[in-house]
Amino acid sequence: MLRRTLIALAVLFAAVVIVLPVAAILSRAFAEGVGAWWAAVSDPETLQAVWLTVLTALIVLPLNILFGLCAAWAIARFRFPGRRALLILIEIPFAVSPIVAGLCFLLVYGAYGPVGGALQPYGLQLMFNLTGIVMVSLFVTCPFVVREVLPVLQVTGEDEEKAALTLGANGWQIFRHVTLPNVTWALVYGAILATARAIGEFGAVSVVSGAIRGQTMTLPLQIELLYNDYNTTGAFAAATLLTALALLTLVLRGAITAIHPAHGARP
Amino acid sequence: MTLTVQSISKRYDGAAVLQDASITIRDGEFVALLGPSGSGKTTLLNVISGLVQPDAGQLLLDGRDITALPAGARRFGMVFQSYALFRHMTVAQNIGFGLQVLPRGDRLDKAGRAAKVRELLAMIEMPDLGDRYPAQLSGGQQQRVAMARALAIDPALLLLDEPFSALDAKVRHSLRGSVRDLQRRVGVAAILVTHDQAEAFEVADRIAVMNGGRIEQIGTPEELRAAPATPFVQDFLTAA
Amino acid sequence: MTATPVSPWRLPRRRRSPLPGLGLTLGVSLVFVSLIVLLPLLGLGWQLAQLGWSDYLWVMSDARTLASLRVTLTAAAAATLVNGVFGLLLAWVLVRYRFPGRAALDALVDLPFALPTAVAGIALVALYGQNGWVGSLLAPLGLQVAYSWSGIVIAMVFTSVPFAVRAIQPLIEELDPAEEAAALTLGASRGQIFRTITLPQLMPGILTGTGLSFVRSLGEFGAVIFIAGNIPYETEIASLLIMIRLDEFDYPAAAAIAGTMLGLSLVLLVAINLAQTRLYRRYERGA
Repeated sequence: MLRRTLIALAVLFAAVVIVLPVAAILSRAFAEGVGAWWAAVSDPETLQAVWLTVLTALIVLPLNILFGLCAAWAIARFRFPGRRALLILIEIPFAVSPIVAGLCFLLVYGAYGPVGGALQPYGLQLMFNLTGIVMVSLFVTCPFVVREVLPVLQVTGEDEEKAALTLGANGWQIFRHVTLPNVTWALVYGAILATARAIGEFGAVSVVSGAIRGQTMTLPLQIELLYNDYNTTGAFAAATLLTALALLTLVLRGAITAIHPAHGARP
Repeated sequence: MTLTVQSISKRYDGAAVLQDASITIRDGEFVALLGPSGSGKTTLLNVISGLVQPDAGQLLLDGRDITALPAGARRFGMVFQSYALFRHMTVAQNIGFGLQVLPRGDRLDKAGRAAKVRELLAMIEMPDLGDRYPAQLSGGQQQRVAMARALAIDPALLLLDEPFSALDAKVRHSLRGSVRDLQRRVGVAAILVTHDQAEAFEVADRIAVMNGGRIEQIGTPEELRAAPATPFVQDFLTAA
Repeated sequence: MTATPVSPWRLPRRRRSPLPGLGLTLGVSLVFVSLIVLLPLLGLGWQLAQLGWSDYLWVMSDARTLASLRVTLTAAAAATLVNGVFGLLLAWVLVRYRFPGRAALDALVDLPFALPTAVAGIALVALYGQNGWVGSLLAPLGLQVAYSWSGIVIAMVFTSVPFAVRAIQPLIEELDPAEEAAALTLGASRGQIFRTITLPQLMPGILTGTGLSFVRSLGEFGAVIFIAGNIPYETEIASLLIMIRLDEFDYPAAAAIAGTMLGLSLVLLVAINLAQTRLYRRYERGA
């Protein structure tokens, strides 16, 4: 009896709080039929936003992987002064709310900030354009890859790497043949989470994008714009794209966890 | 080939792990570093392999100073206590790794490498297991693969770090013989780190007994038994 | 002597690693962290330092600022309470019971993490607005969720419930059923067992989960602004007020509010960490 009540309560909560909102997106997006949905999705401005979002992700992903692997390797394999401080700095973006993060970037890299101001005479502008969007996206996604790869590196592979070293392998060969295969799944997992976050980031990006219509609107910003224009179908149609992406992320996560149970235990 | 270890010292966080350790390993000789845990024997092996830099002292290989030479350039084959097999590579890929990472000019071609791997697989009596992964092997088989991998680079010296400690007693006995046998056949000098007196006495030509970071005595098993140089050696040899 | 000698690799000590790559990897890491994390944070600190105490207090004592902080803190506290209760419930059900759809429910818990916040925001309005499926049911009862304080709470619950579930879940998995059985043989009732045996052992998880959920709620922006109505003094959250001050180019005021929020988050996270360490230590000593 207790068991049934508890299960029923949990399912009810999940249904009302989590499932219904997603169902509502689909219902609104297709309220005027598939044709209207398609027209809204293929609207040039929305497509422009999709492209900018994809472009951002394509720039952020390799930088994230490079940084994540470097930081995880340095922290796992070496002892150096400031090692803990580095780890804390990497984790900090999780504690900083999106608007505050965006503001921090404006204060330094904006036209009135020390760095932005110094660059301005050379015609270099970092904020209110793609560079700004990429920079804040790097900020919000910076912990993901390190978080997944570091624990794996800490428990595996140091002996294997030393064995490779005694067999004459150079640094790149050790990384390529021994380290990378050991952390592949953790890396893929972290990269997926980071990419999903970069694509969906709203608050931080909205501070630094400048929200120039048809130019610096990412998909989440475009959704807000359409919604405030009372273009409900347009907003919800665009939202279906991001919802599909979120569901895909969950499926990929599940798949990786199934292949390699060591990952995915944490949110 | 002669390796001369000259007055090696090493401290960790102020504590001396190795103090003035000297020993000479001659061509084809099998030397055991024997001592309790914390005696510095593994650190000495790691200094010889190049994985640890000594604070003082010199390593001479046929008179040439190799103290500053990086581990990879020394071409000493090492068998790790954990074996450290590459778990995502097959047995054949593991054995062939040292051949594959050579610079292009010094590298055998693919067929040559495959032939060499086959030869080593035959030598460790696992001719048909080249396609297996390490996880699919028994402990004894893994140990033999680690040996073959170390021998594949035609090492100037073979370093064995407690290679039998992860095996059960029965396998351990039979493998001791075959390791000694392999080493003789290849004709390579070897250094074995062990805490097991019986093991050292069975396989080594000479034994260096270590304690507290110092080498207490070096000699053949007979010499050690006949004339222990210090009370520690006497105690350690009779305790087992 | 011991059977397996300790390898020096296992000992935690300062050492020069023989592995290559420290210069390159540390260099890349430091450049990245400096440009992307450290410098922006220092920028906020620099702006605050320029502001000085009196101006800071002047910004923070503004009635609209205070109202936005009150709205944010009370809504986050309410959301955290809901998440504590339902997070425990969901975690318990997911670990202890096997029923059809359990795997799906487990996966669903992560949906709020994966769903972009702006999408969550408009979805919640669509659902709880006057014409929405739930909103239209509540309207005749005189309950208005969208464009009110309770709407903010719902948005915060949505985005932060996974923190609570995922922090509590592993601790339930680690519970030893034998302890409950032992209590049962000693005559304890089910309620007593839960209160005296189970709950105390789950406290570290509940603390972490609710703490993270609170911090996340404090900073939530995307999901909240659509459903909040954003009426100054009533349903305007602190993050939005920062945004408004930015649009007015009032950077000092924006920095003052942002610095306060960030400081609060960091203090909370450190406190959670310390409390958790202490709780764990107590159990370890007992074991």
